[in-house]
Amino acid sequence: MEGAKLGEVAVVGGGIAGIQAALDLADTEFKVYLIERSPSIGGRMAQLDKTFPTLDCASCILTPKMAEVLRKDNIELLTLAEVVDVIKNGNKFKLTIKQRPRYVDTNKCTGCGTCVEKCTARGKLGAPDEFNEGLSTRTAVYIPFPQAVPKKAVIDPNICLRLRYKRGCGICEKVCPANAINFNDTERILNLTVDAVIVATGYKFIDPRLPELSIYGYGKYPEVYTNIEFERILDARGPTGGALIKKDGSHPERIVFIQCVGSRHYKINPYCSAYCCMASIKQAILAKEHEPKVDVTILYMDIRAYGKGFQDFYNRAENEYGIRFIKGRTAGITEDPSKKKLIVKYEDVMRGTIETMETDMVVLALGIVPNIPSFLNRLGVVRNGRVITRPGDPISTYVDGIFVIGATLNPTDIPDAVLQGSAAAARVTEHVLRRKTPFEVMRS
Amino acid sequence: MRDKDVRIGVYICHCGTNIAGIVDVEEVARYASSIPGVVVARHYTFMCSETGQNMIKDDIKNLKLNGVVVAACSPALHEVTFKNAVKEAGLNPYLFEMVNIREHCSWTHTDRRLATEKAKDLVRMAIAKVKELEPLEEVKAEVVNSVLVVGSGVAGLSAALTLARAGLTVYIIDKRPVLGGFVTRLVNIAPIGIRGREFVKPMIDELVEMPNVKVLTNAEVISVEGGVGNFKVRIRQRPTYISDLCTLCGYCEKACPIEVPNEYEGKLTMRKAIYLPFKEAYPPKYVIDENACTKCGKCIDACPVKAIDLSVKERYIDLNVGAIIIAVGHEPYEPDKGEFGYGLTRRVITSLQLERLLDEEGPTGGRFIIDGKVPKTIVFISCVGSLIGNKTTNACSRRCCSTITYDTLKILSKNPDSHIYILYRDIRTYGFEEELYWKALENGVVFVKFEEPPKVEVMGDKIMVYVREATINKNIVIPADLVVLFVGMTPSNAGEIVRIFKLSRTADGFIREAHLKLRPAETPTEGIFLAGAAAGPKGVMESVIHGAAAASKALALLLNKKYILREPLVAKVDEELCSGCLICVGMCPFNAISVKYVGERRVATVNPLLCMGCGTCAAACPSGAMEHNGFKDKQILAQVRAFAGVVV
Amino acid sequence: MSKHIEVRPEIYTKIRDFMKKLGADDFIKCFNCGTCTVACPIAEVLGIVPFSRKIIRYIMLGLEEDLVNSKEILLCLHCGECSEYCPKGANPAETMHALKTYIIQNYLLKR
Ligand SMILES: Cc1cc2nc3c(=O)[nH]c(=O)nc-3n(C[C@H](O)[C@H](O)[C@H](O)COP(=O)(O)OP(=O)(O)OC[C@H]3O[C@@H](n4cnc5c(N)ncnc54)[C@H](O)[C@@H]3O)c2cc1C
Ligand code: SF4
Ligand code: SF4
Repeated sequence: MEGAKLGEVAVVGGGIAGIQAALDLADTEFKVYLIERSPSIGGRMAQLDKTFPTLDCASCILTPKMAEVLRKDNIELLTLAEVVDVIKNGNKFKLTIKQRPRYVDTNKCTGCGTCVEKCTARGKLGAPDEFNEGLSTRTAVYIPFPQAVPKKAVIDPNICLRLRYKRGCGICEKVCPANAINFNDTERILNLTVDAVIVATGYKFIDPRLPELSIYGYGKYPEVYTNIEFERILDARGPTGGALIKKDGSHPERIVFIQCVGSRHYKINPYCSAYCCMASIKQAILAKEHEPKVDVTILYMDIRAYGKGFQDFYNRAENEYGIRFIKGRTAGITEDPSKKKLIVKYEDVMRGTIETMETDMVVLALGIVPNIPSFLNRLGVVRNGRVITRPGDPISTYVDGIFVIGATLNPTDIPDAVLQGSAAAARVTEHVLRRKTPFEVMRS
Repeated sequence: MRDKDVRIGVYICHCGTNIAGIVDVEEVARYASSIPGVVVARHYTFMCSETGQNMIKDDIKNLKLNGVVVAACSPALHEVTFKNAVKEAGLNPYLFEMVNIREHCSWTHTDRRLATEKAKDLVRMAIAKVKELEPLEEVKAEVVNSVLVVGSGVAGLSAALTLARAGLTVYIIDKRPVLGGFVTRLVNIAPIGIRGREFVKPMIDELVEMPNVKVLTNAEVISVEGGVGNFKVRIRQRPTYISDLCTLCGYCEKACPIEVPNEYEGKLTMRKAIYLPFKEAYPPKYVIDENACTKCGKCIDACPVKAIDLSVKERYIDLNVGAIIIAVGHEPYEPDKGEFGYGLTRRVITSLQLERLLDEEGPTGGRFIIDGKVPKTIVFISCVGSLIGNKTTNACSRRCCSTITYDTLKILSKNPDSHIYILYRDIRTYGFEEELYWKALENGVVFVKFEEPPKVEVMGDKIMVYVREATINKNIVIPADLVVLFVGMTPSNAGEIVRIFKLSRTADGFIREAHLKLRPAETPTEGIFLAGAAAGPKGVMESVIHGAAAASKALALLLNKKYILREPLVAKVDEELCSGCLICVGMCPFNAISVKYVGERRVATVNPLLCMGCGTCAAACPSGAMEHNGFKDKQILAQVRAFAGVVV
Repeated sequence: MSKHIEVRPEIYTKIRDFMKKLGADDFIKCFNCGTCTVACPIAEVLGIVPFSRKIIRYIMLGLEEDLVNSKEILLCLHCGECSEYCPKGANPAETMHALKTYIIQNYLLKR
């Protein structure tokens, strides 16, 4: 039966969870449609510098998987594509997909980047670079990041001078050695019929500008960062080329991490975001590796070092790297403009003292919420912003054939997202094969 | 030298500016083309792109290349890409060599001139190697479409069910006399609130009904041979002594004179040497505890259906399977006598015993009483055996915080007047389970943070728990009626398992996975997968997922597959040179080398399906008979000579 | 081990019941983060730290002596800042207020 397909599956979301599900399904001889909203797969993991608790470089371990997606004949990758609707039709699901125009012919584009070099819409005319969380700008025609898959250029119609004014510029078209630019590209509506759908649309961050979080001064003080921004600063591919520097170019002497920002809060998110304790410990270690002299403090409530190897990682951060862990929570951050320092006031709960710490940078460990696509709501498997699954099988919804994995399901780290990805592939196989067996038996 | 007429193509990638930014790629290409044997050397922005690959393919066809060197990124990333391109153009893919001038060159150096020189050295070495390469064929191995699942806890059951539903033949074995593993001792699975035995019952019921499933209890793997796609496994099954005729009448139990503590009731009650572990147990028959049984034979006389035969001997079963899933789970930490007062009074119990006390079908019928009395003040001590205690794994057991809070709610629903104190280091109710913590708080549970482990002293009918409440820095003492030690998860005979399956363990003692983050359901040995708490502390739901993930790997390997292809980069013996010393046999970590006779002469022989290509044997062989495909002495030495500037 | 203070669950229950009647029993939700301590404008000025968090601990553990001798309870101005910042909705300000009544009624008036 080699080569014959067992069935067709749509995987919605190309983060690590979706990638893993797609790869396992392709290996089991399913035809997979991997549907990704952004121009490249990779999800949040692609934005990470290193990963806890082993400090592997994120792109070094993720890029081979992304490349594998391209190599698999069984996987059809749809980028810039969003599932608008899913309708259950007997044993099948009918998907309506809206694919935004790329304005670049992916068959011709070699990803050489000549167009990016020449694009006129840059700097002030450019747009905040999504990959760098807006800490830098990008051009109108751009390649999302060096390891993007597919590594093809894409034009942002909102800032492209040619697309906005319907004439002029068009430099990219002229310089492209492959003749790949196509300003006449249009939105497409695609219809697919599949046997099962795996939803892996990841997570969204809590908005650090919420009134309840205004005490942390995000958006007010330039040196208050979210942790995903800080991750970009640590990354060699990031806006500072991997230099741990402040916006004014100077090196910070001290960094303070504040945990549970927007998590474990009765007005925002009662639950814990699960990844952020370890992410801060990782970032603290990386900061120390970048600048051994920098003084690093983590203000926490509980350190949730629950996964394999996490406790050890935590101990190493404290004992080997000299990172200061203080149980306590700040009631707010202020600035001493004369010294250009941020001031964090907190209670050191284990000592029972009120402390004031001057610091150069503050990193907020931001809470996350599941990013639930609206079609799941319409399928009736969402309650109070959470996906409802079967009690004995956390990835199977009550609609047979719809599976939900990764951070869409609950706050999770990479190892759990990977396991859920593989598990979902197994569930699809079961679902498809078990459904077919009785018919075949009856016919014979 | 392979051939007088070597025709090598060399391709240097810019990787955008990743390589070209530091390495003068043009210069490297020019240099390469000057080396004898090189008929074409090109450089291009992205060799891995369609255009780049076509360049190679066209040259192979048009220039009749018989060797290819690509200098680009890490082989981990694109070796397969280029190998496939070479193959598609009709050249043997093992006549290709990849050089990493990104990670090893442009990303690690800042001096343009030196980086370029290094890239030239590396390219020259690769060219020298390609001249010595030989075409190789992939090894095609037939696969057996069946899987052995070792351990029948939730992870094992989950894996077995998935595989069986997909149609593979599944053997599931357990060293215990019943299926279900650890959850059968849990009253309620947090946070879903299903009784452990009820949780596994439908899984077991479905599994044992399937024609493609074979269950073996009282059974353990004693040896494994072979490799991915075709393992030969020997299993020892200890006798059960009781046949399927057993009607569960229980006369034998009444007749049996031997009493021992009942491990299925947390040793809170006694059971006989012949007993029924619990009423939902599968297989549904009585079992005999070999260690306790004196073979007095009273049960034989008592059994009305003659189901008991004490003369049965252990038996050995040989299985042939394509993949193995290891799901041997964990064991709860057993505190020493006197550790936190354990064993000094019946009122210091472990979390496991607590489970039994809360179970409607447990020894107290679900009434929460100890020694006939309702305990009013209850102290929980968490992290015992994980982060505190006499022996610790020094790792978090992950599930305890959620379970403790869940259990306190359960206790409060039975006895609302209880005063409950939870002594903790950190409360780790991660994710949505934080809500359990909040619920416990709202129900009046008091949380006490400690830094130094608490001390426990038994004083009459009170148990005094001394602890420094670290958040107000005061020494307090709690006079408790009951102390519950929340014990951590420790690896279940992982030592034995890693020995038999040739695996390794992580610092916490659990089995090591192939890659902690991206391959958590695989072991480093192909075809052997990992599921559940055997790989580290995990909850019931997480184990169900881990089981399904391991099953997915086995499905990808075996479902509808007749054979698998394996890389021929394995060790090979030159039988002429082999002196038969067999040093290599002992060195091979994968049992891939065996003895063979060529006429009278004893020589080593390598099973290419088992060889993982580590090269240990080739290094150890004193007569140079053992060589490694793709890494033969002449190939490596050619590289070394080329490095030293001796161009041949 | 005489320097250990004995916890008094009955005191905790008693205070809780009293507070409940005043609708001020949100304090049981406190997860001991210490935000209220830094939110309090007088704690630092008076050099008595930590403020409400510590008092809530005393209640939970039933440390009667410590409660009765805490100056904080009488000094609290009920400005409500701590409740504003508390991430847990434990309403420490309300707690301090109600507790003052409790202490006065049960101990100070009786002295
Ligand atoms: C600062 C920071 C550091 C971290 N560090 C680590 C670490 O070191 N180790 C670790 O294990 N974890 C870490 N994490 C957590 C890690 O990011 C997540 O566990 C992981 O990314 C979850 O993967 P996912 O596939 O579920 O979601 P995502 O990575 O979010 O992927 C979801 C994908 O779906 C796409 N998508 C969304 N909506 C749609 C739609 N409607 N249609 C189509 N596509 C859609 C998105 O574009 C995205 O590509 C960190 C997180 C942060 C914020
Ligand atoms: S993981 Fe840590 S920082 Fe993140 S919400 Fe949970 S406790 Fe807070
Ligand atoms: S801020 Fe709220 S939760 Fe935190 S210590 Fe104070 S009362 Fe407790």
